[in-house]
Amino acid sequence: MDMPAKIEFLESAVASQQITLRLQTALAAMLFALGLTVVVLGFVHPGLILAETLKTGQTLGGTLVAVSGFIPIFFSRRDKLVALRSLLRSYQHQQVGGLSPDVKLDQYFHQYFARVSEG
Amino acid sequence: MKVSSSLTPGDQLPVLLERIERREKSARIRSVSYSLLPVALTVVLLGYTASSVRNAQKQVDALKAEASTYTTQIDTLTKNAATYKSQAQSLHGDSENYKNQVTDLQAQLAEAQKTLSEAVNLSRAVRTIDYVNAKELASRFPGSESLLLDILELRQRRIKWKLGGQSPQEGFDSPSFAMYILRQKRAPGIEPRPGESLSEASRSLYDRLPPINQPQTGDLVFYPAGYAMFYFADPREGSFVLGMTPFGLTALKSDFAKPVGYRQVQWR
Repeated sequence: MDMPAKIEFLESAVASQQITLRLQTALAAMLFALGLTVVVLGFVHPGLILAETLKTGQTLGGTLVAVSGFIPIFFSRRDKLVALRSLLRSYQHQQVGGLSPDVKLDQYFHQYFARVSEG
Repeated sequence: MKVSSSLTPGDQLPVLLERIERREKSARIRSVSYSLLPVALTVVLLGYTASSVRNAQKQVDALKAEASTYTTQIDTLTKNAATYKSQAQSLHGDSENYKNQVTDLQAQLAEAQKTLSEAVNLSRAVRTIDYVNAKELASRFPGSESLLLDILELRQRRIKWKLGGQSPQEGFDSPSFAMYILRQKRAPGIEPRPGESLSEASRSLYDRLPPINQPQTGDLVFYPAGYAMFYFADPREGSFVLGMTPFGLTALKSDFAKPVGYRQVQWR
């Protein structure tokens, strides 16, 4: 496989994973913000969302929502994306600089390629 | 699933990219699902709690309304109790009044019975006087004719018995009648004292006249129950006393009761 094909393949893979990562980050941020807002409103304006008698429940619920913001972060594979992007950048530098093929880079690429091929 | 090894790496790329895309989609769906699961759980729990609280609040409101009804009933009953209490107090007051009236009536009845008993006793001792021949009767008491005639004349005027009375118009009790006659006749030893009424003076009559052992005509005989009667020694029909009784001016046999004492009157 030639270098442009490798770069195109890596670019597509990185773009796809980046979308997933952005979605997860946005989800986490939304859950943090939502949970904290619910908790803060429970203290600042009791009765605005739920009745005053449910202030404790609202606080606990808000905390649970905020904590659940960690779930998409746990599921994200940021390290893998970083590694894949590093491989892509290395190939791009190699292409731009007209350097001879790096055996180590190809080895990493083939490992990734094999893993994807195996499903 | 493994990609067919017959394909060249160049041909494999679109298939692999499609696989990568599928995997990422799955990862996205999983992330969203796992993230929203606690949120949905929280919403469900809070909704259930809110519903429970709302139901409890409704029950509390219903109980409050019921309690309010009971409070109103209690207030009404309290007011009724106060009314009944006041009525009971009023009735108690009325019953006390009736009780007092009954006591007074009993006292009056006892007094009437006593008076009746005295009247019965006195009626046995009444000495009949012939008023037509009053002068003939008076002639039997030399020196005291005018006393007898004056008393009989007052009797004709039907002077009434009245406790504490001080005049013929008002009436007299027994001592005050005796004092009235003594003053009319200007008998010595009973001159009026300054500011002293006839009734007050009559109460000291027994002490102001000299005591004697045997009465003469015109002397005063004192009996129990406060009677003060003028004594007349009738040589024909026996001695009698004349004075005011609850039945008016009456002549009685001198021995109708045991005398308390005799007092001498020095007629002028």
